[in-house]
Amino acid sequence: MLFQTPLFFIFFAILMPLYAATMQRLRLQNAIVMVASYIFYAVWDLRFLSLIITATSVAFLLGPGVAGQEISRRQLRHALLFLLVGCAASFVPGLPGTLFYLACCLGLGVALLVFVPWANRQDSTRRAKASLAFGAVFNLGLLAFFKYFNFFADSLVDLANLAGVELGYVTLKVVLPVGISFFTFQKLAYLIDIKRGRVQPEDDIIKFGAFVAYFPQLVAGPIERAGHLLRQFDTPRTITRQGLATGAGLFLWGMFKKVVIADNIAPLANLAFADPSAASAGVLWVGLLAFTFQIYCDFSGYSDMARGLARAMGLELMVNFNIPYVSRTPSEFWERWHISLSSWLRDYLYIPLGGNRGGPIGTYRNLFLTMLLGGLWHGASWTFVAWGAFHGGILILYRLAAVDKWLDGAPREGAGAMVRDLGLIVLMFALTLFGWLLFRAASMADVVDYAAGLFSHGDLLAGAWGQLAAFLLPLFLVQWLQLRLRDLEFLPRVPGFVRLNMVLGLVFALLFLAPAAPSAFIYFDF
Amino acid sequence: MRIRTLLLGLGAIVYSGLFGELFLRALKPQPLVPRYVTGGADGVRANMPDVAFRQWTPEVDVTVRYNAAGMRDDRPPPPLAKPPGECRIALLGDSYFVGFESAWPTSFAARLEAELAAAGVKARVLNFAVSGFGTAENLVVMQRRVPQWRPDVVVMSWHATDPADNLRSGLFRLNGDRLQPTGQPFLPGIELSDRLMAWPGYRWLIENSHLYSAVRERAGQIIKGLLVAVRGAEAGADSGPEGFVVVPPAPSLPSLAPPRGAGQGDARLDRALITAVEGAAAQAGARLLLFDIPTRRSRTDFLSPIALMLGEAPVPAVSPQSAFSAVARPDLKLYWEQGHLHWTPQGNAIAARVAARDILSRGWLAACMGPGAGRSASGHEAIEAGAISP
Repeated sequence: MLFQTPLFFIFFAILMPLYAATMQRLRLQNAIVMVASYIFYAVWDLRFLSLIITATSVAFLLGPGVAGQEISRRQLRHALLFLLVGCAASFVPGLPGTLFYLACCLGLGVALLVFVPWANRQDSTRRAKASLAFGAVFNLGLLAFFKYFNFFADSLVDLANLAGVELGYVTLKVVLPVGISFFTFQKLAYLIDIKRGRVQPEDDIIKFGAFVAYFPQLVAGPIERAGHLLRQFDTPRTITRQGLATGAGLFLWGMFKKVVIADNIAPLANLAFADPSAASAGVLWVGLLAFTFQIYCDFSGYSDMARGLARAMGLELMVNFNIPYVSRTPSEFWERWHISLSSWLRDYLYIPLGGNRGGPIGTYRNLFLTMLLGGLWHGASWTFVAWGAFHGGILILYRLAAVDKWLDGAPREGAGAMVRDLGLIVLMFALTLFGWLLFRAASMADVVDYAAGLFSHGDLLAGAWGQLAAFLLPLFLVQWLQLRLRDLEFLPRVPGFVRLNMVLGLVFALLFLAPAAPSAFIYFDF
Repeated sequence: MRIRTLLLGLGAIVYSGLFGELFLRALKPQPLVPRYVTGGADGVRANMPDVAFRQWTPEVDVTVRYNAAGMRDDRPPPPLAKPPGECRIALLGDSYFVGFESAWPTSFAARLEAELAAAGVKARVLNFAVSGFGTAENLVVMQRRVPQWRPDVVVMSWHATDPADNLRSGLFRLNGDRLQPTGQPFLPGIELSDRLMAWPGYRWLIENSHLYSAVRERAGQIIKGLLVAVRGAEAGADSGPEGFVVVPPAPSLPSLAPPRGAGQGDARLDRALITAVEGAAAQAGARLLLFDIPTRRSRTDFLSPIALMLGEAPVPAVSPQSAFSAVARPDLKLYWEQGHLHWTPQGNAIAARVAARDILSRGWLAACMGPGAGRSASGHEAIEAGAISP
């Protein structure tokens, strides 16, 4: 169910009155949020609903164990009941794979029945370690199976073929459940945060289910932390006029970025990347710039829409993008781009690897590994690995050159600072462009063809420069205001008449400038 | 306080409308293609008699005139009695045959008459086409409006939207193999439209407002879709290969997808309707020619709805698809692209030549041929060579 479709508006229009009517009954309201989120997800593929339910049950049950507490019979009963009811509800006789998922659910139920009494017999330290290990293996195992099985199997087959061994039978056709990378990381963070003593394990499976499956952020983030979102399910929410107004503003702006900008410039990128060797330099430059802004508007548009929906419901999701293309350095870029992922990688990968505690070499190794795995998180492809390695590489180079340290001590105001910042922004943007070339290309061979074509295919003026500029103009205008006013949500601060015209502009653009058929968000594939 | 709120609300609505109008004019001009239809006494729509109105798109600016008989023609209607030595051709169809987005001299009807005249045939084309018509409405017109004009030939268009229109109208249904009128009129939105059209401000609006045009088109699409769904369910139209033909859109040209409504319908009903039109034409002493309106996939790629939807046509039929393909070039528009996708003057000219050539080759107008007639209209070779002029 895409946010920008009539089906979603109907869904939300039914949900909101129910939600508002249960403001005084917190547990019921959480249950409504959870069931609505499951419906939202089931519209894509009912079979994979069992995946979320399974993962929710496991994380819920392991939470107390990771905290070193004994897992109570009540908790076990609730988790198993939740698991079985959820899996039964997502069982559709005759649907391919549905029996497999039901069998997995039952198998997992048995495993939990064995694990919990065993864990309860251990001392608290051992129980915590075992529970965390169970949670990590389970979550990463799910991710590995659904997301990386084909990649590694295909790579193994290729390797074996090189050695003259036929291994074609290894490949399976595993369908990727939408949003699996996001909700898996969310639950991993929950368990690790319990281990670190940052959050308490949740005792109410309904509340926990609502947190894990909360529909605005379920399939493409932001990757929320329990300390931020789960705690918001503890207390009654309020729906305010201001929340509705600013939430609607965020939603509209996000939808504009997705539907009007990203979807209209996507064909320019598709054209260029379809056959880079045949396109002129102008078409290739337009295509690369188009993709650079398409992926930003598509993904940040989704995040804004998610935040807007949550705010209308009295909940707050974290800011996921903060005008990333004005970054001066790679580290600044990652503080502005997909913030929920980059901070996740920092907290749960870079720091556990040793962070910057192991001297310069250790720091560079950890940076590189973190970015490499961040690339792989996006998908099982060598182009994503190369993208991660490239970003790891430029992070190291900038660190070696101590650019961030130099900027910390350099003057922030004046013409000199402005020229310096502009130069750094242009350089960083050029590097980002190359990164997106790695990210978007179908293969490494295409990367080479594309990069060569940018400088050797002549006719720079060919390509739809005008069309690209026309769609990017409103984005630049809004981001200039965001920078100037130092406020990502400046709309309430502008005069009423200007605000009215901006909202009308957004609404009419959405009504009349959007492509006829809605398209899915790019990050649904990750 | 209440009055102030009311005034503020009204002001906001008016301002939003003005904003939308300016927004569309500046960023996405909408085709202004008013239809000027009203209800006919026979239960289906008819063109308003004696009106002239403007149609504007980013590509064309034309005046459309309906004469006193409601026919798209810059001339007054002829007398009912046919003059000696003159043949008459009745056109049944939708906006393609009406000649939307075309000036009268370049419309299909005028070009057909000119082609026949050039071939030495004295023939008058009587245009009974009404925008939005499908075969069911054409059948009513054939039964009720056409016979008094005593045509010799009836040319009826077959368009990709006809199956959905036939289902949507609910004018006829199949009882076994028999076609039965339902007895229900089909005058969608006509009562409201007539009331609004009585107000000169509304006429100005439909001919000049981009916002109104955009809203009306979208509302029309939604209502049409709902009507097709409801009537389809009532009629039990199946979705098997016989009933539904899905025309694949051109992957590189998403905006040039098949016409709206294409791909939904009941092929048995369509065939029965076409056969009934042929029967009604025969009763009026005329022969029926089914004329294909090719579906445009790109400037050089056209599909034949007759071939796709009907397979073998149940009546004599001809398609300009191959003639279109023969002359097609990436720099030549046979269909307008920024309006409602009707034929350009070149498209009308080719279609009219194909129709004239086919009619002449069948000898249906032999009674009206002068000495040496029939030569210059056989312009298929010229069409294939690309020698066309607007």
